[in-house]
Parts: sequence; C-alpha cells; structure tokens
Amino acid sequence: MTSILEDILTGEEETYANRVEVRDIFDNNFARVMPPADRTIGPAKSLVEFYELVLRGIKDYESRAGTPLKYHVNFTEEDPDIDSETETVTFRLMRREPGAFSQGSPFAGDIKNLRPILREKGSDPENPDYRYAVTGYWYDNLVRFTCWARTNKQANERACWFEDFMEDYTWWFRLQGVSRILFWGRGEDETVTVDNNKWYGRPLSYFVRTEKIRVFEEKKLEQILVNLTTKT
Amino acid sequence: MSTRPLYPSSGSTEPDMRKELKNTLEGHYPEIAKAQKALLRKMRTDSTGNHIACPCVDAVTKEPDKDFFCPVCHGDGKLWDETYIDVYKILLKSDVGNVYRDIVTAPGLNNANMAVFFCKSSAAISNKDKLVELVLDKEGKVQTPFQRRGLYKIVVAVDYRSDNGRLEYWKLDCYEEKRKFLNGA
Repeated sequence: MTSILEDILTGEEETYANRVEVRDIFDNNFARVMPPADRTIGPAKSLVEFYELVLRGIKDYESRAGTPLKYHVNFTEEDPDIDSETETVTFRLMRREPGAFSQGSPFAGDIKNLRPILREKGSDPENPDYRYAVTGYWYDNLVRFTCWARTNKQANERACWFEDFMEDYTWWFRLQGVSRILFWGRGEDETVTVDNNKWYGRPLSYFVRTEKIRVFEEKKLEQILVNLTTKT
Repeated sequence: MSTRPLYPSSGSTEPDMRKELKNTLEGHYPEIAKAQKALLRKMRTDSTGNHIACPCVDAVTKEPDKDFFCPVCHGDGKLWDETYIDVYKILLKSDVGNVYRDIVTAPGLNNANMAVFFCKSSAAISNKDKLVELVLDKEGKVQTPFQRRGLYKIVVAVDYRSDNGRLEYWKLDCYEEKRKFLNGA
C-alpha cells in the first residue's frame, strides 16, 4: 500500500446529495474514529509497525511530490544484505527502555512501567461468561535514521527532506497509533568508503514512544469437580 | 651472444615491447588479438589546460549530480568526450583481498573492483581520464545497442618506457566507480 489515504465515510454518506455540509460529515466521522483521550487514536503500534509506517509515509510523500520512480529513496535497516545502488535511508534502534510516565523530558522520568500495567477489565459483551483484562506497556525508543547519498550536497538535501517529512507526517503517525514522535537531534556527518567509492551519511535521531497492548480473557468458573477416594 | 632473432616480429634479439604489445592487442598471425573494445572518457580542457566544469557542479561542495542523472557529464562533474580504445584488462583486487566479494556497509552491500588495463602507446591518456567498459557479447563484439558496463577511474597512468626512453605502452591502475546511471536515466 503506497497511499496513506483512508475512506472514513460510510456508503450511505457517499450517496448524500450536494446539499450535505461537508463539515458536519467530517466532524461526525472524526468523532467516531477518535477514541477517548487516554488511548492512541489508531490501534497501538509496535516498533516494527512504526518502521512500516515510515516506509508508507515516504512512499506517499514521494508520490505526492511527483518524484519519478528511479529517484525514489530506498528505505531499509542498517547493514542490509542487499546491494547499495541508490540513495538510502537506513534506520537503527539506538535505545529502548520501559516508558516513563512521570514528569520530565523523554527518558528522564523517574517512574517507568517496569511491567505491564492493567488498563481495563470487564465482562466481554460478545462472549458471555468471559471476562477480559487489557494490559499495556509503554516503550521509549530512540531510533536513528541515516540518509545516505553519493555526494555531500545530496546527503544534506536528503537530511533536510527527511526532517520535513517527519514533521509533516507526525500527525499521521499519531493517527495510526504511535503515541509520540519527537526530533532528537542530528548527529555527526558520516562517510563510508569502499575502494574509493564513498557514501555520505547524515544521522537523524527521533524519540518514538510505542505501546504494547495485550488482552487476556478467561471464562468464569462453572463447576469444580472433586474426586475423593479413601485408602484402606 | 647469439644473433638469432628471438623476436621475429621485431627482427631483433631484444623484444620490441611497443610492437609486442601491439601484436598482443591487435593480433599478428598466428597470434590472436587479445584486446577488448572499451571507451576512453577524455576530459575536455580549455585553452589554459583546465578542465571545464559541468553546470551541475555545486558551488559549495564542488560535487556533481550523482544520485540524480546529469545528461551532460553523467556524474563526472566535467565535460568529456568518449572514443573507442583497445585494452587488455586484468582484475586486481578489492578491499578485502584477492577475492571479489561484497563488503557490508550501513547503506548496503558494496563491491568495487580494482583493475589494470594495458593499452597501446598511441593512446593519449592521463590520470584525469576514465575508462568505460562496454557490454560485449560472448564472442567479444560490442553488443548493440551500446551499453556501458562499468566505469573506471584511472588512479595511476604508468608510462612504460624502454628503448632509448621511448614510450612502449600504458599500464593503467584503476578502481571502479559505482554509478547508478551509467547508461542514462
């Protein structure tokens, strides 16, 4: 999937006459997809799913800009077992910690969820006699994206391009269920040389908070069988 | 000392290296020609002998367009002309020794060869020029439509001299320049 566009209108609303006010439709539907304030908007995303979102976002960003396919940037993890033929943006996980939820800047909070925390419990409306419990676990991640190009000038341009991309698409990442994304800074320029062929790298770090939600279900106790025997 | 000509093609007791290499490259019955067709990418110079920069060269970094195709210089940053040249090629080594294998780097696998090319003394070569390997068919003919197969930067152009100091042949120590757009975008 290259486009990030989603159709949130119901089939009935698509057939409305022209007099329907778009604003009302939008507000109604947006309210429908918006969860309570204590939840992420979309289903919680893991770190791997975040990488997939970045790839989708890049493809969308390039297609909107009308970039020809031959100039599309390659997006992959660092040290991939594939040929480096074109411009590449690589990612690497630099740090991953239990999520902090006390006051302070990212990674600085004293209070962290060191084990899954119960978020919700109740009776499952779809399965009578079943109870459910939802646990959540925050992860604070530091992800480094490095923009590689064959020249310094292109690496510099690509780094600024990537910063713009992440800024423009932060709202979409959050809509998709990533809790928080913050720009964490740009590192020292890098150069990789193989037989005088150079790659110039520009590392950009981002703080990404992801979440793991697990649902447990159990049935109510219905009967207890006791098997008694006597010894003589 | 024997006066028998050991090298009949030159009629001398000593090898005429210029002629020997010419015979090796072009063939001299019954010797079969060993050369392959390649292109010499000769950089243009102005009247003062300086190279002429391509408009794609950046004012600050002095770099050409390599990640995007420049139809003028193909990523060399200078204006050039290509002419056919006969060469004999020997693969030399890569960074990891006398084997040709990929090297893992952060952006992906890299494999740039180092090679030595021999060519005749008549070739007007400098170490500012480049060699372009062409796609050949199995019999050694240039495949049409023409396609560039590899681009080699001449690191050292060694002028091998012998008889009375005359130039006998060129030995070109080269490394491969990896380019995405060898044959246009």
